[in-house]
Amino acid sequence: MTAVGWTGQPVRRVEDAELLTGAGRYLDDIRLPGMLHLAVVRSPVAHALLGGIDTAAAAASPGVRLVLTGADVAGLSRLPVASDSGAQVFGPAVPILASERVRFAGEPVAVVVAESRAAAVDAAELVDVEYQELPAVTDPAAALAGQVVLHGDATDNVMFRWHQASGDVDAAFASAAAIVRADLELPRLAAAPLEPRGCLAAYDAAGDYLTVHASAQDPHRPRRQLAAVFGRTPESIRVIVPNVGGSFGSKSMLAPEAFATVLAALRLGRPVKWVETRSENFLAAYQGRGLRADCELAVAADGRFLALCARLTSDVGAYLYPVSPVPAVHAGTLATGCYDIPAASVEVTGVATNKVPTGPYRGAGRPEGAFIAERLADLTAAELGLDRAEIRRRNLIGPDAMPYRTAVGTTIDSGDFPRLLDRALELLDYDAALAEQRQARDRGEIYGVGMSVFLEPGGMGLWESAAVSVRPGGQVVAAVGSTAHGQGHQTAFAQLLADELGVPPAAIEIRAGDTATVPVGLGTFGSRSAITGGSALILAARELKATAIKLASERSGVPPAELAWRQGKIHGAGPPIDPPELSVTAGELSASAVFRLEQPVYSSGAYAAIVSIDASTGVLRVDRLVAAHDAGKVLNPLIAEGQVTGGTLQGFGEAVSEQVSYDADGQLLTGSFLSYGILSATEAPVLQSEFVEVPSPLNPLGVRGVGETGATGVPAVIASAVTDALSPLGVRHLDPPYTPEVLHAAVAVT
Amino acid sequence: MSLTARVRIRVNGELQVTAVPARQLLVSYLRDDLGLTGTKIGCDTTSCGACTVLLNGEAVKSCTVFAAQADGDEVITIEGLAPAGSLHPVQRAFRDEHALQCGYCTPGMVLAVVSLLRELPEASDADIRRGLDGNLCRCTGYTPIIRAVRSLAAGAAHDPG
Ligand code: FES
Ligand code: FES
Repeated sequence: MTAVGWTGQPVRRVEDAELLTGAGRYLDDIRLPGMLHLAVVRSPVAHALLGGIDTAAAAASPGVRLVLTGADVAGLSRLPVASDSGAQVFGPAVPILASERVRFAGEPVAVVVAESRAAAVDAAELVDVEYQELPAVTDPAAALAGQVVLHGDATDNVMFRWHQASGDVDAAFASAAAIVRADLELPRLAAAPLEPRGCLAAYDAAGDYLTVHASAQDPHRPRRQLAAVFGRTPESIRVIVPNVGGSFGSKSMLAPEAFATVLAALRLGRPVKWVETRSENFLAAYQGRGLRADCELAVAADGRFLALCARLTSDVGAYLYPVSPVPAVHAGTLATGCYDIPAASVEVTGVATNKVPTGPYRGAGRPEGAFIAERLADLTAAELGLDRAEIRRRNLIGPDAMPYRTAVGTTIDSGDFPRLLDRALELLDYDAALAEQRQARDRGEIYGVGMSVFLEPGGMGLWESAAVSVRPGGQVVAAVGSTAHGQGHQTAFAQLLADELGVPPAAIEIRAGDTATVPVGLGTFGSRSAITGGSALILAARELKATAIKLASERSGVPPAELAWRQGKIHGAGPPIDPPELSVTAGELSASAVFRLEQPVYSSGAYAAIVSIDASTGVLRVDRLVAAHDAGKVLNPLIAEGQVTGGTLQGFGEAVSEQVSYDADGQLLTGSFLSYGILSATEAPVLQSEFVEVPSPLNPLGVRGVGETGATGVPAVIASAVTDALSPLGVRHLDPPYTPEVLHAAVAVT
Repeated sequence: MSLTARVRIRVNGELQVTAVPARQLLVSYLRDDLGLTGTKIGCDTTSCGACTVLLNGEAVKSCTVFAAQADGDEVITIEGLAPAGSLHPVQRAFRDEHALQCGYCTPGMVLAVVSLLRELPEASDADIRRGLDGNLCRCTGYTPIIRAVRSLAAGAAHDPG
């Protein structure tokens, strides 16, 4: 059957049957004997000194087994702030439970563990905490001014800095025919996976072994964090990631509440489960975006971009989580977009505010980078009176310039950006759209045409490991470090291995998500799984075949060159040999491999859109939305399209409705699905998208990442179309989200 | 002391006669007491639809109903939609159209679709979108879900787009 080729086929997901029948096991579905439940006491105010905490009434409440406060966690190491983002970090270590001071509304102050969830929640209300309120600062600009300083030993609110520059920026600005300025802001967003965060910890004192089930993106990073905080060896900790109800970057690290849960389990010797409510998820799960960019682009008379100068301010929130600097630094490295800009100076400053911390959310810096570059391209076209497609064509990095090192130090491996833009405009029928726009405007309609071109570096983390074994009867078991939370790895990885080993996908079991059965790996983030995890699997499978042939040769005396692996067996030495028979340990034959990338793999894409705005209501309608993506070799079009469609809706939500808001006192105003604008089925745009498959040269599969494309390209294309629609009214730029209120006001003002 | 109520509820065809605390929600009764964890909880404001079950044949958010209120009623959860080992046509259409990713919204979404198609067997695209308005999905972008429902709606062939 090897001739069929499973890879590239729209194979139905093997994961689905279980999930469709309610047999999936998510964190809250797991029950262990003797399990207790944990509820969290959270600060109701954004900034305060902690006075006394009286836990007596809670501790005496029916069913309560333990109450923990900041004093109880004092002996633990705090969460490390170090990250590999390349930024210089100043933020102090993150507390697990607040002590002395609270810095955001929703910050965990104490936890209560009881026999039932209801008992824990009831008792949590009895914990009496004295708060001496301090003035709160919620606006990053005000925080930079430094009236209110969040962290006692610091003199300002700067949590991290990053700066990259090259080329002669000053000379470029001095010689520029025009300088295009933009002040942009992308508000904070809530990742809001449908399953909130949670963990379940169990401690076996006799064996000194800690088992933690966590709703996380992978098991290995949480294990490392647990080892660091509790001073344990990684070998004494097992982390299991069950089915996960979405993450979108928001479960990249264990929550402080999870460490408190583990501490409770260690103290009590009974399993303890923490599952947050949706309200808690909005309050206390780290948020995405929250970025301001103050940009200047030096442009020559012919529209060529000469130099970019950008200052980015990241609204970090109360604490610098290990993942907090990542998105803003990433945005900085992508601020030049897909354009050939010879000189640049990009500076990123992370600022403490009295709000929940920020961290990666779908795209994690890619949407911000694309937004900056694409807004600048549109604004340049407007300033010079050039067509927006034309200004892009004059500045896009051409395929012959690859690999291309940008002025902010990023090396783009490959890609054909002009072709993607042209294809998207072709799908839209750009000329017809412009003609239609003229007529619509004559009729008094507000009609806009937009476009965006974007980059999506994938394979972040740059390595992954995998192991593959064959068992008697041809059953293949493969274990890989990356873990799925909706991306369909089981299916796609089985397709890859089926082709490599010549066995049907049904004979392949993919294991992931358990440190006890899976090689050390990094996990699923930044569109990396197919690239690094898939490549590691293929390398392991090749290693397995080579080993089997070597052993078969030794045993039979037939030279290796005359032996061949076909359909899961060794041929050429008499009757076909079942590989497990060759194993000295008997039972199974295994091999493992680590795949390393020298640098991220870039995918890219272009979107184009037509929108209209109802002048009387401000309601935005998307008439067309088209996209061309270069995702390299597509392993499973069903799954790849699913990633694009899902990301597109998230990007569209970011463009038109999603925005976290706080009042001046630091109280969250968007604390539920009623006030935070997750889009529903009535609001989903119809996307027409196409894959242009240019295999990546950087990995054996030729794949590129596809997980973040929609989230990256869509906010920029909607911004482009909306500002185009409003341009006759004198609007130069508007920040998202383009809610009816915002658009109505924009139309009414003019 | 919490009050309890005696109830008779038929769940997935099986009659349950039991005492439930007055404040217990149906979703908690199903998940915690009966172990039917296919019904999910995604919010605390009755907004997401992850907890959708069929109550007397109609889609209802089980976090909006007290277990005691379901006395005398018939409940179908995702576990009882099709005989063990088989898939209901709606479940099959979801698999075929890749209408689920993480799967967390899926049980509620599937039951909402079953109810929708019972009510509007010839649902148009607009009917489908409106009918699923109370069920949030953060992964799929809804398009594949709409496609799955369309493939089952008898009148689908007449719908443009
Ligand atoms: S859990 Fe019932 S609607 Fe969200
Ligand atoms: S499939 Fe994840 S929320 Fe719908």
